[in-house]
Amino acid sequence: MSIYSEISENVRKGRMKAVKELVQSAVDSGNSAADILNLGLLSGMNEIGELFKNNEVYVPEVLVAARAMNAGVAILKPLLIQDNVQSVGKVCLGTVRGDMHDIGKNLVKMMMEGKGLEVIDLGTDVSPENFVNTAIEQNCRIICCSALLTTTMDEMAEVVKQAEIAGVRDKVKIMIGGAPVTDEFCKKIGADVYTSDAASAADAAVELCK
Amino acid sequence: MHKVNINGKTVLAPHGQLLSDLLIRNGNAVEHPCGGKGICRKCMVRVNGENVLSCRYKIETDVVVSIGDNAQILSVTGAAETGRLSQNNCFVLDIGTTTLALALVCLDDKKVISVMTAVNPQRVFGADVISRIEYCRNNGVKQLRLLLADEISRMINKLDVGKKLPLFVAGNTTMLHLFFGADCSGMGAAPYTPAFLDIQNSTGEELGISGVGDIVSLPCVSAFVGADIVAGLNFVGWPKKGKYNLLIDLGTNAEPVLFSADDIVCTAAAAGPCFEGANISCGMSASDGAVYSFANGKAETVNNSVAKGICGTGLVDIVAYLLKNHIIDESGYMPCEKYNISADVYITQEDIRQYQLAKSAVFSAVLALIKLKEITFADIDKVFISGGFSAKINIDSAVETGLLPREFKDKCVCVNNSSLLGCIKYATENSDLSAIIKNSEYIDLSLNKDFADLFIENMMFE
Repeated sequence: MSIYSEISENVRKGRMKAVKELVQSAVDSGNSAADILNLGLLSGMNEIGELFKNNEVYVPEVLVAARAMNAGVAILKPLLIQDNVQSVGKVCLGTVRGDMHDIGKNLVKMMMEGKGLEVIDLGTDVSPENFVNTAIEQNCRIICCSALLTTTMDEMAEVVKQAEIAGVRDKVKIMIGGAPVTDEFCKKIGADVYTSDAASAADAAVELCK
Repeated sequence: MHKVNINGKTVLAPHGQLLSDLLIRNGNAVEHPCGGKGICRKCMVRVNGENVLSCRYKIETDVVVSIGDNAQILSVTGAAETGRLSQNNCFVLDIGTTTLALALVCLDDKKVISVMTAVNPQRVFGADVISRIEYCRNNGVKQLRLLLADEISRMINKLDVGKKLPLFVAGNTTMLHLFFGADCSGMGAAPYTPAFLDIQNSTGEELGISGVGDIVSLPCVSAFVGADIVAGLNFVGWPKKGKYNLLIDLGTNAEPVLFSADDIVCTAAAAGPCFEGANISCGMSASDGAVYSFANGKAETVNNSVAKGICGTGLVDIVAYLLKNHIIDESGYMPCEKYNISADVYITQEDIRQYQLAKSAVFSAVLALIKLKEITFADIDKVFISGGFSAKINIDSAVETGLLPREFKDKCVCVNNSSLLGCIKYATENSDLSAIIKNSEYIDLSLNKDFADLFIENMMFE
């Protein structure tokens, strides 16, 4: 088995310690950081993403796999910067104002990072202004909003409105998701894309960045 | 208008009305834990002999509906310490999100005469507090308040005391808002602002509750730490000097409170509704036919009936059994599609994953509090487990499945309804709760960096 498929398999199984060791030994034996990232870490995370989409694995496996992937990415990060490896695109995401539930948001972040996107995590309870200002300052292509509660989902309409007021609505795509959110709601508030799960959100974001 | 026959009684319904709305309006206790989104399948009834989800079924013709016999009063039991009716009695009420518990207490000898429990009738508007807050935000609080007041009147009427008595009330912050008819919309989203936290006074006349004179509620700490927790602390007592005790209320929200005599930290971790059976394939509440225990491959059910589903304590036992017998591995992976507990009752891979999320939320919340106070498990003297769940939980299974740390194995005390018991203590001893309120600090786990890591670390069964 190649070192890449070994890394990939251990990401899938969520074995953080093994991933760290394998990534280090791959680096030491002269493999390029970009290859270790793409063929090893991200490929493992992608497989988990596909299984997740098909309901073959569930949230716990994704969380654990992502933790293993991130441990590997941390080792590669200085090398990737040194080699000037570019990200697929830049996204800022957070849960909307009033909402503190971040498991779904974190899943989306992990899946997006698994697709090679650069993600700025604004955390929970993020104001519409903060979303929009971050997107402008950091030059993000996409704003991603998550809400778990019916009591907070209306904040997403506010994010769309703020992006219009700031005059960046044509430059920034707005993606939304979360348990109570639907495609119908997405159309109603004038957001761009709704996805029903974290893996689809990552796929859609990659498409939007093309 | 269509004629709808519900269990033999005919009512009229406008064309297109949702069956669940009609059932609610007519006082039929069909549960809607998901708040009518059509995903939990718990509101299944039979229409013209076929199973339908009442929250999705529109009435478009005359139909015959049959719903299972859903007895509202769960139990009427004499409590262990039986007092007697004298000149000096009172009622004590705990308003749980799921269950109401009412005690008749003799203040002279400080003893409980009887305890009665019933389903919280607001449950048809959603199992969790957020669904109910959302309902009130859209429709006002009056309907839910009256539903509760009527049910309490009915319970009090059954106790047949023959005169008006004072009533002491505990419950979580949202339930107290719904009881007094206060605006709860501020608690629907961060920063979670309640309309009140202090002790409230009212009368039975004012709230439309018969058989009740003056009404006093216990104080709350925050939107998440209500009078139920304050009452619980009042009941369980303080640890030895230099030690901490832990009180965990297990439900949809697990609410661990770590406390010493002068230092109280509490938090709320969203455990998800799996302990109440809501997002489990064959999940159900601990009612007739629920598997509540599963030891050595043998299921015990409520009332010894044929197994109909799995309640929270049964789930803990089943997961422990599957682990012990290597039917699932330490990552929670189950190679078979489902595992049958009985002919009709089974557990799936997704159920196991739901349990992992819930148990990790509880375990990690406890651990986050312990880290925050820079203490160790050894510094904890006693662990009190409350909630309806606690009466039947097998501590060994809880430990084996990582719901509780191994170190707690011999420290656990199950106190069932600590809120009701603490409220009774307040009524009989006129306890001073001001120290509890003053010394309590609420920790928001979503802002706690440790918690996010711990939550993932403790997900597996290792």
